[in-house]
Amino acid sequence: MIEVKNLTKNYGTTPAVDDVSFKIRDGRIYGFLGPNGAGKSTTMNIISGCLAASSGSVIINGYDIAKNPIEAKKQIGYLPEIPPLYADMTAQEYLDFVAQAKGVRPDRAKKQIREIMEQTGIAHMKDRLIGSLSKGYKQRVGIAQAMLGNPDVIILDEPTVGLDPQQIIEIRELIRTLGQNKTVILSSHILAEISEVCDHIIIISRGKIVADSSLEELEARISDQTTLRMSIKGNKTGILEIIDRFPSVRECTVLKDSDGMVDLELKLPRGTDIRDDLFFAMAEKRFAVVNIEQITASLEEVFLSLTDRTQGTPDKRALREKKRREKILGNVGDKKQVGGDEQ
Amino acid sequence: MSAIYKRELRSYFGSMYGYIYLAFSLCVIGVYVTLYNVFMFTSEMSYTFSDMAFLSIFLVPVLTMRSFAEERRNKTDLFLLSLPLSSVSIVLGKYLAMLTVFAIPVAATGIYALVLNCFSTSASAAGALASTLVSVLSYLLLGALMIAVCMFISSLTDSVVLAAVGGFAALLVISGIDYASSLIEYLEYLFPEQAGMISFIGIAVLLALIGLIAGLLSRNLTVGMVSAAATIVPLSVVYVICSHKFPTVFVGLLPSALSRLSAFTIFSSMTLGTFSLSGLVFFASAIFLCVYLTVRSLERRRHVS
Repeated sequence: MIEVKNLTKNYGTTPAVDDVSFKIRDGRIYGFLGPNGAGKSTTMNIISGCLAASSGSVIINGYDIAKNPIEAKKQIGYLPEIPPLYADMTAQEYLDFVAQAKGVRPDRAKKQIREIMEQTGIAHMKDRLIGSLSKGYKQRVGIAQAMLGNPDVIILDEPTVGLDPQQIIEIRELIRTLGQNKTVILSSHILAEISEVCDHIIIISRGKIVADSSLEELEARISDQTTLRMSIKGNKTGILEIIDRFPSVRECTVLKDSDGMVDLELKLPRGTDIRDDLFFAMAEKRFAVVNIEQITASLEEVFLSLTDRTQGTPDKRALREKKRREKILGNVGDKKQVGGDEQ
Repeated sequence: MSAIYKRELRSYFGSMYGYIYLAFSLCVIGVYVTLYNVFMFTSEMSYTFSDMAFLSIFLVPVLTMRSFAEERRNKTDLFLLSLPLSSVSIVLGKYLAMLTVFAIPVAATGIYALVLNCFSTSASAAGALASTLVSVLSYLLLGALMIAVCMFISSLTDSVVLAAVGGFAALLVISGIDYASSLIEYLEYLFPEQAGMISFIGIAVLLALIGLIAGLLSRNLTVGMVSAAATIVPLSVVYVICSHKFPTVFVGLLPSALSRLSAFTIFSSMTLGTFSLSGLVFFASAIFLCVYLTVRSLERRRHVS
């Protein structure tokens, strides 16, 4: 079990990881999800002992990574974002080296390396120089390295980045088999990957944990409602009166109201479909429904909404960017106006 | 430690790199032995090693440049830190591997010494062998120090070329210390009235430089300058007091201090047969300092990356 408590890491004055706490229980596959630069790699580097935390603690199977680093590091196998390989060694030599460095007894090491090579599918490549291996095989050697020494926890930082689809499927399959008897922590910025492989998802954004729950819980949280987006020609009050007649509408927001065209967003419980009734009700009052669209919130949207929410006050650069954009857009608008006048 | 040691040796001899180093060293040693021993009809090897020492200024940085710089460039240094190994054992493993590569061609000179010894007259044979042994040992000590210095410099950068150039510059400075010492001695001889002041100013400048370098290395210039000031200010007070009561205390202080701290001066006096305990202590403590600094430099990667 890994216990992360109030972990903070500052780079200069900016926090990369800000007061993060979570627990990793044994025997599950954890997905560590977040956009680029959210602090995933930093957190993983701290858990594996490569980086020192500014404050807070990481306890792995009862060993504190700061106080008892050698014992704590024996509990985990780590594959960093860039596989830490030596191009001038063969896969066999490299794994021999790692096994020795991890203190695996020489008589056991040989058997263990052979087994792991079989499992990761690199046995036939063992005498090739790592520098000449393809990216997929390099990643496998990296995973094999993490598995050596039989650690309880295996941490994989973005293991599928830069691989082709076939390789991605193979690596995912490998992770799934690993998860059968080990705890696996997998980081990614691709939601599909996490939702396919992991039992439990931790979402991190701007150095803070924004969600920490099982996949089912997360899906349940979002899947209880559907969203309807509509564009209707007519006056706003009249339209809203009609919508009021539908008790199943939980929430109604007017997105836009201009030139006699009203854009609406309705929130409904999942499974209710009032599109037909709405259409005819509107038609009765001679309000033309121009567009109607039903959106079922996906995990992707939850991810986006969760990671957006924590964005807080925009920094100076974002503000500058916004101003610049406004200026360009403003100019475009002006031109349009001029064009309109000419007509 | 043994895992790192073996890996390092393998990386030297798994590629051409180690062999080229060996071939070049052996070739140079061969040339020197031919010039100084075979042509001069002597089995005395101290001159051979004195000249080898100056050539090492170019050779050692090439040997050490990759040690940490390449790990940093490939980001494998963080991987080493994630293995259940202490930083000390990582540094020592690498250091001992480099020392081994350095020692191989030196050991080969033992064969030359034995061959040369066959031709020496019976009276001086044992003495010449002993003196050669002392030369070899002192050369190894000097080499161990040079490797430690260059290893530290390699741990400061992620550019292999910069590590080599930096190591070369550092060794050049170290080898230049005894020239600086004799230059200051000459200055003090030219201006006997201001001799004490010259030493004082020299020491103050040196301390300020050390503070500056320490500040640059720790990326905290104020700390470096404050610590330099903390040593210079008391020194000035001592100087002012001394210049009234004991005006001769500072005379010749800097040259003698420099020559005592010059690795090359100690080395040449050792190769000439005066193998001293103080020299041994000097090399051991200087090597310890550099290895310690490398460990700190590696550890610092865990704090800022």
